[in-house]
Amino acid sequence: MPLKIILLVEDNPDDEALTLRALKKNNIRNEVVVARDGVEALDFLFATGAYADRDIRIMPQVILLDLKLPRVDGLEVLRRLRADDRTKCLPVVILTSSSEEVDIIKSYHLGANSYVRKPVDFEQFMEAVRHLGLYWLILNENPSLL
Amino acid sequence: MKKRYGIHSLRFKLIAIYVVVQAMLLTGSIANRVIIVNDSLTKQIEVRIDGLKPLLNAALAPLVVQRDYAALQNILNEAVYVQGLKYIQIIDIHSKDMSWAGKIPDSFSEDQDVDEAQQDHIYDQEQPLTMANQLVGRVRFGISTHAIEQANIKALKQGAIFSLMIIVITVILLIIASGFLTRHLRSLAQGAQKIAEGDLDVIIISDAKDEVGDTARAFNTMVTSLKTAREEMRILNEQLEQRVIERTEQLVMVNRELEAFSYSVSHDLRAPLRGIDGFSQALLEDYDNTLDDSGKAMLNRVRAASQRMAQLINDLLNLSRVTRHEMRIEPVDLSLLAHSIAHDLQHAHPERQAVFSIMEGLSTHGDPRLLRIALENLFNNAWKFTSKYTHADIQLGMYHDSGEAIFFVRDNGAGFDMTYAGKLFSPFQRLHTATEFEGTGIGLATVQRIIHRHGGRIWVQAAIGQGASFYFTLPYMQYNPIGQ
Repeated sequence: MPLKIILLVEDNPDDEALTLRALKKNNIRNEVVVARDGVEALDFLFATGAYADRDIRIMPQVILLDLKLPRVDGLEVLRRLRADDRTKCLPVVILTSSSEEVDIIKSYHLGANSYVRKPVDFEQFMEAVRHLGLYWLILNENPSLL
Repeated sequence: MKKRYGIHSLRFKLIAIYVVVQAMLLTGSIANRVIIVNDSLTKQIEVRIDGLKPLLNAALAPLVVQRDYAALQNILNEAVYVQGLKYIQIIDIHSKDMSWAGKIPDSFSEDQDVDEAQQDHIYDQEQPLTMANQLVGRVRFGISTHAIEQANIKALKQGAIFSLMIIVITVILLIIASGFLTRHLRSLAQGAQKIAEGDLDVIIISDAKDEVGDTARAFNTMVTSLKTAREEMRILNEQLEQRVIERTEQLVMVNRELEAFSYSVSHDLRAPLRGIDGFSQALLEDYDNTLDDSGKAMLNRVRAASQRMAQLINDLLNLSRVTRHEMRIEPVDLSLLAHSIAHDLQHAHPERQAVFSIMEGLSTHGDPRLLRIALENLFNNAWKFTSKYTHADIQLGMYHDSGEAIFFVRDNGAGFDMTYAGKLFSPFQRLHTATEFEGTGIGLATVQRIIHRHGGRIWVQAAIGQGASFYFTLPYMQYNPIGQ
């Protein structure tokens, strides 16, 4: 059985590198697919565009979604995910710099499963990623997707 | 709609007064005329009688002496017929009736009409008949006053008709004149009514050269200046409204920009810091062997600096959030809030020994979230500045001064020099170095903003080494429990 995929939607290469580093440091060895904007993320999830050849049955175990993204932003990605039967139930964790209340409220309204602010302090960031990995990849049970 | 005043109309009053006065005047003049006519007629009769007396004496005395009855009778008949006497009677010296003509009063004549006798007043006269200064008999005669009465009645009738005609003519003239007057007054009244209703397009057309005309012209002038004033006011109002709209638009725009700015700060300023901190940490971890202690120390300083920057950004965002936050006024139990904050502080630093003295039942009205932030900042401050003392004593209390509730948060910490107290509530102003007590200098600015948003005041009392007391009021909320 292949390892469960993590979809990381992140446009900042620094944040991407740090997130990958934090995952690695926490011994989370799952495959991480990185989408650098909302369009790429949607292409991956719905097997369109660059990901047209992808097996659509394989869905990520968790999506780490940034909000500020080029082209299609995080909230729009979330909205489209929740509007499609195939991705309606996917766990989505908003992982972003801000904790502006409007963002938090909109995210939950659109059906986010969790909202985590990326701490500036890397040690705290590591801790947050560790918790996320433990919870969403090990503890949490997803509905089986067909 | 034309208003009907009936007997209250000016016109009616004018005419009524005129009629009464005229009637009084005319009545007086008629009475006067009747008296004059009466007097003059009476005098005429008396003059006639005086003229008649010698004639009667001359004509009758010889005949009485001669006792010529036939001649007497002839003369008497003639006299009654010609002189208009009612009766005439000759009596001799023995008071014996000698001869008479006409209707003798007190006679028993059957054909005397009672009504006629009553109506017909007789002016009776008796006169001696003399001859050579010797009384020979007497003559009695009566002159009818009928003529006088007739003349009086005629004068009265003429006077009444004349008066009536004068009254009728003048009433007609008055109606016409007062119609002219009241028509102008009425149009003035209607104009004023229209103005009262807000219609200023009223012009009263009056070519009268009198006071009414002046009033109408003054009225028109007033309406014109009123119109001008109203127009000026309207224009001013419009300009003001336009300005308000423009300002509001500007404000909305600035506000939106501010929102966008803080949103951007919130997102974009943190990410590079995370990079700086993250990669410094990565360096420390991955190049542990090649980095000497000095290099590691420098990297740690980089990390500390980026974290301080992150803290600054956080505090700044909180300060701006406090300003933008939409207030929701509810009853707030400050004592309960303080207990919860104290519990968190003690929980985070279990090694510290601190006494929290919190007055119970400190309830007020305000935004619970903002008031919590304010109390948190004040308690954090107190907690921070007592950190170098073995026994921290932090109080929350309230007292009344001139009927005003004044809350305070007091500590027995480091305190500060009151000379610099004025700077305390401005952002980024600190009275201690970062090595003494860490902080960004935004906490008290945030507290002040929250208190101000609640319509209150905040001030401080402190001395170096003797702790600090922060006082604040929340008056607006006490009087407007559900207002904002």
